[in-house]
Amino acid sequence: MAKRKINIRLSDFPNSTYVFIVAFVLASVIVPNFFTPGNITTMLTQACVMMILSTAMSMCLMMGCIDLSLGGMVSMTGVIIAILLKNGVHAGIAILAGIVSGTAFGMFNGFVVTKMKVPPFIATFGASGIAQSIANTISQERTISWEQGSHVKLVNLLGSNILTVYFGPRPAQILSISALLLITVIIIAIVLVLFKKTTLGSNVYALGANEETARLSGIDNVKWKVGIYALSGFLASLAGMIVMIRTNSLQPTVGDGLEFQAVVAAVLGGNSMKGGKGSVPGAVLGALTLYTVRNAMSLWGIDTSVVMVVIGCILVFGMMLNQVVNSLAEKRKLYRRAEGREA
Amino acid sequence: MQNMPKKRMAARLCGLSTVIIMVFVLSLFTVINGAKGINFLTASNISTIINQASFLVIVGIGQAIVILVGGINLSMGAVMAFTTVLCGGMLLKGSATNVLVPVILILGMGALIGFLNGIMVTRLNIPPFIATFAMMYVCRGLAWVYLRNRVLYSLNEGFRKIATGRLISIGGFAVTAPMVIAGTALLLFYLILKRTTLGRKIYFTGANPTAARFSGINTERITILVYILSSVMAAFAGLMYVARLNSAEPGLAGKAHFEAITISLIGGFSMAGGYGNIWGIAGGAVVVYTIQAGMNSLQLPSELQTLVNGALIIIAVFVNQFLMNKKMEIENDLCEELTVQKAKKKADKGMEDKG
Repeated sequence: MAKRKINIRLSDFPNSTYVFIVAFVLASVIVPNFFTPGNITTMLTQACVMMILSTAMSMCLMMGCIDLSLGGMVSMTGVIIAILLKNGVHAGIAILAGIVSGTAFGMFNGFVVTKMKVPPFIATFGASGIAQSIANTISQERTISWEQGSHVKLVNLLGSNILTVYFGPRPAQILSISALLLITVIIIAIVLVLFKKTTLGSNVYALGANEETARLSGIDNVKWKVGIYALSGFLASLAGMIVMIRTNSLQPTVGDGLEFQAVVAAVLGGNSMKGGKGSVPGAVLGALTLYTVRNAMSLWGIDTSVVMVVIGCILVFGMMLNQVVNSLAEKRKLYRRAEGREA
Repeated sequence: MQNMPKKRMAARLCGLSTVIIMVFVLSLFTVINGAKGINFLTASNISTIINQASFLVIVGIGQAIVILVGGINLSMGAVMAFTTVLCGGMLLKGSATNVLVPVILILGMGALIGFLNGIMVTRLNIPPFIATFAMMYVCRGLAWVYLRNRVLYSLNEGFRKIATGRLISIGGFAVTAPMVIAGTALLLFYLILKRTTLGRKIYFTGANPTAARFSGINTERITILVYILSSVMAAFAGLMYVARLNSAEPGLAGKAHFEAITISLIGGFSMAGGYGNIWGIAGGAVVVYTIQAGMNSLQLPSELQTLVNGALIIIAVFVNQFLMNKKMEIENDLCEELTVQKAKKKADKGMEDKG
């Protein structure tokens, strides 16, 4: 019997791991104030929203669809929660209302895509207009803020830090984990467990790879697609809640363009636009990569328009790197198969 | 057998889905406006709609040919902004250079960007969505970097004629330069797509790239060429937009690529590639601007306009998709019937021969 080797292959990790490591190390080395506990705290808190959204987007992409209404849904649900808080509704009920509305909107997306057979790209683009318009109408295009009181206790609790580690007296030396980050991590963990341990993952992959085959082999494609879109809406509403709590007020345009960042993050994480491939952790790491780059460049004092150019370039290089890693893994697999045949 | 002509008619009718949607949207807004006592269907109003649609038609053609080969071009709006911003200085009123120089430079730059897009898609195997998205970020970012917060204002009057020129007006309906340009572009692309081998190759590449490659078509070259054409159209549309606005700014045409995708889909193109008629673009653009103009004359608040716009676009694409599928079904039926008939005839002939 051959000795069991523990070998970690390059392809075992999601593709964006390498891009993330490269970006993080480079940022730590080049930018002086990047690798401090305080800055890491800021970066992680900022990246919460994108991590959740990229999880949602990667599920949709794996299924061969796309959800461009994520940004609109973030605005919509955030506005709904904020306006309820402003009118003195208890925070728990307000958040519940936001989550329900987000999920319902996601189901509407799923309905349009599956039953009306509108291509996902245009269906969710139209839906994003609808969601944004609802947000603008409710908020009358003004920033919403609310008064402090007993009914917003929950919001304040969620916005607080649960763990603070002091490395020194200065703010840059304090590492704190906020409740929001914990929520984000828990949600992503739950989604991951569902994805790996239930039929959710395999069904999504099957639908993405070939919908007709999946349908013929007994997967209810309509149910699953509507379900995934509803999940996507649910996650978007959580993201809306997080944005609202973090900024302690809400602009109705807060979700503008977030959907595209989510696509970038998901694709950097190895999701293919055609579906049937990809991973959720990859998308989360992709989101972290994006925020590493942003954070590092803004610390360095580089203009946001240059950051746009750099992100575009990183996207292309990330895709190329993904392909190199993939082709290496493929070669190795072929080589191994050949070896096995000889033996 | 008797209902064959009827079926053929039905198929033909379903094929006119864009026209049906156009008539539907026009009559919808005429009725709603009419109920409020506004005459929507005036010659000058229609002229305005078609004039505005002409700008979008140029972008739409660029998008449509990329959709034909199964791709997508998200960089169009950014290309429009970037190229015009970079050469906008030469288009200004006081500039000493001939207007043709910046125009040619802009179109050339569009071609270069398109070439890069094509290379990314074919050689580097990056999915079109990502490749053109990255290009969008790069172009838009560079445009902002180059111009900062400045705006290049007041352009050469002669140059502005391509967007503001009027040729003849017949009873309130003014035929403008953009209409002529859009019409010419449509005709040109119609001829390229339907009457040349290049057009056939584009359709074939989109319908089935593998089959196209095995039958000896250089699909890579076709794809790159299509991306170049698309970007050149974007640069040209950029020129027209700039001429209309009388200023060049980095934020130009932020959502143009989306509008272009929308009108392509309303115009009957399929996202999977290989299917669509270039004249549909004109119909799609008219539909989009009829909705816009109709809502404007109703004086809907802007936040409601996005809602109505989104909903109507979903409905329009749905109707179109539905009619297209119906048409294909009927055509398949017809094909089957024809084969059955032929087989029968053959069998009858065989019997006669034997007899």
